[in-house]
Amino acid sequence: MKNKYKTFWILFMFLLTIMLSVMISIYWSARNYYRKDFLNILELRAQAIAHIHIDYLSDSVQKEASNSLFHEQDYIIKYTGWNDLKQQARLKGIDLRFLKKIYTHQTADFTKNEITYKGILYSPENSQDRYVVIAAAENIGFKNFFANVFQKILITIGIVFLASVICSYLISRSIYRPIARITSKVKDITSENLHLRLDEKNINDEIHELSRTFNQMLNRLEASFEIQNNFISNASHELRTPLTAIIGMSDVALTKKRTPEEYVETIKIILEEAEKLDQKTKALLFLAQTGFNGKIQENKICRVDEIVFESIETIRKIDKRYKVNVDLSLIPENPALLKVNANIQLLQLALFNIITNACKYSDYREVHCFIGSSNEYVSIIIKDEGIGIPEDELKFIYDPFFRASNTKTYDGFGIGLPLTRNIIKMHHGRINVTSVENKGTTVHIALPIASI
Amino acid sequence: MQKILIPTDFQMSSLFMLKTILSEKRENEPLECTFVVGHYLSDSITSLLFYDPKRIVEQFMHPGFLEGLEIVLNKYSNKQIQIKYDVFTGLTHSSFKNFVRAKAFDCAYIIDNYEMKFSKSSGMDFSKFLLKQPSLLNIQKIALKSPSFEVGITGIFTS
Repeated sequence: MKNKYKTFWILFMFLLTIMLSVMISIYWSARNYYRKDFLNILELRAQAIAHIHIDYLSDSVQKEASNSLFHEQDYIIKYTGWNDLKQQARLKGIDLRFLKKIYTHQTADFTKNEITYKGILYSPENSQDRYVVIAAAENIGFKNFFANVFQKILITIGIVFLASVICSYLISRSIYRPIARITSKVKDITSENLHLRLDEKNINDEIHELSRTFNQMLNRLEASFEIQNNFISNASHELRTPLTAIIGMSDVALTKKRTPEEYVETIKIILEEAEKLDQKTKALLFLAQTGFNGKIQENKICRVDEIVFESIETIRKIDKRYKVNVDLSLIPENPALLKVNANIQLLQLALFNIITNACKYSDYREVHCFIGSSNEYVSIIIKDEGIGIPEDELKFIYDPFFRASNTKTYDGFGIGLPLTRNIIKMHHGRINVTSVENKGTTVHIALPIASI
Repeated sequence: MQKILIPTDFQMSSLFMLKTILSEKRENEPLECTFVVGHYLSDSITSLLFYDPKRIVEQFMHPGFLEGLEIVLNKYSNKQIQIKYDVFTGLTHSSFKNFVRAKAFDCAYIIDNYEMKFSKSSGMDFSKFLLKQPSLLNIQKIALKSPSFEVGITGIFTS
């Protein structure tokens, strides 16, 4: 059953139950009220009858008592003993248990064939005699009330039923209509038109929150589709460039006979290009290995600051113009807070990539590296004052072979950052890159502290 | 124990202030640093009924603040430091005076020529109350100029 119908039925039953309960309770309280009122009247009648027939009171009481009730029957039985009472009961057709009840409780009532009986035990003043006085009549007031109200109750039940159906339908529709609208809109979005978005107004309710979440998911989906497309075009371009050079050079060399020096020159270029191709495929392979399997996992407990220093040492060996300033002003007092469980070679490679990028894209300006430790993570922050990354290209930085539009004059394949991210992910860490074009880039790497 | 009041916007500058304070203090001197954020309390009855300083502090706190705070505290783990948070909702000098007396602060640190950047519009810089009542507390002014510190903490704050 659809949720829409479930909600409808739940609401309908709920409303119907409430309305019927209200009506039944009103009916019962009215019924009880009428009965109680009628019993009071019968009691007064019994007392009046006793005053007239036993005490022989004045005319005014007689006059008052002469207005009899509908189908009224009155009984006066003098108590002279149990055997006599039994006989009287049989003669007058009254239930003996009712008489006994009157005798024990002074007063009693019961109803039989729509006739209500009310009896009292009466003792005249200055006399030892006891009388059982019973007034019996039909409760015509209640009968009329029920006859009048029953029809109206039936009509009201019908109206209540209809009102419940309409209310439940409207409520369930108002709840599920926006969801149905979202569903139909989402169905329209396919891989061909991923740019479509759901309508989202700036209203803070669950439905708009859902639309916003869907849109955010679509943004991510669109970005990943774009990344995939970029990867294929970038990868084929990167792999084709050296191949084109190799084929071109070979073609040119074979068009006519060359001198041995020319052949050596051509083969050197071909070798150079083949090496580039080899480097690129190796980097791709490494990226695939770090990204997809967990086999390269020879983890050891090591100190992050040592790995940072070793990476910087390697960078300085490659190019002495690179300047890295390591800030240890917030390094924790407790060395245990600097220890991480890591694959040293991979972590060195990741830091090497980040620091090299920082040095390369800041034209040999000083790069700041900071190490600090919170209670759960060791933070390594690398900040440069280089060319930065254009804001709209930041989302593609982890895309293999992607290179920002302002990096054309710098060497590189676009493998370093995706590789670093894979390595950090393997170590259950976080990496965050923030950048402002022409101002610089900040990379924050957080690695979980090893529990020793 | 010395009780220090730090007016805060829960941004990087407050951590810089804490670091400066801790670097100045001796090891065996116990400290209680209270980050106090100024908050304009609305006139509605609900905000009075459901007034919860902890929730207000959480609303103002930058997501990177606690991580940055832990970094600073781990740097000075040999010192006896207790960190507290509080909210000041007063609008007058006398209410601030009462607040300072009730909390029994010994001194306050403020950053010289610094404009607070609150994450909510209801944030209030109550440093003016401090500066106008110099006899109330011993006020220390700190100049915000430490590029190396900024490198690290900014990295966390931009994450």
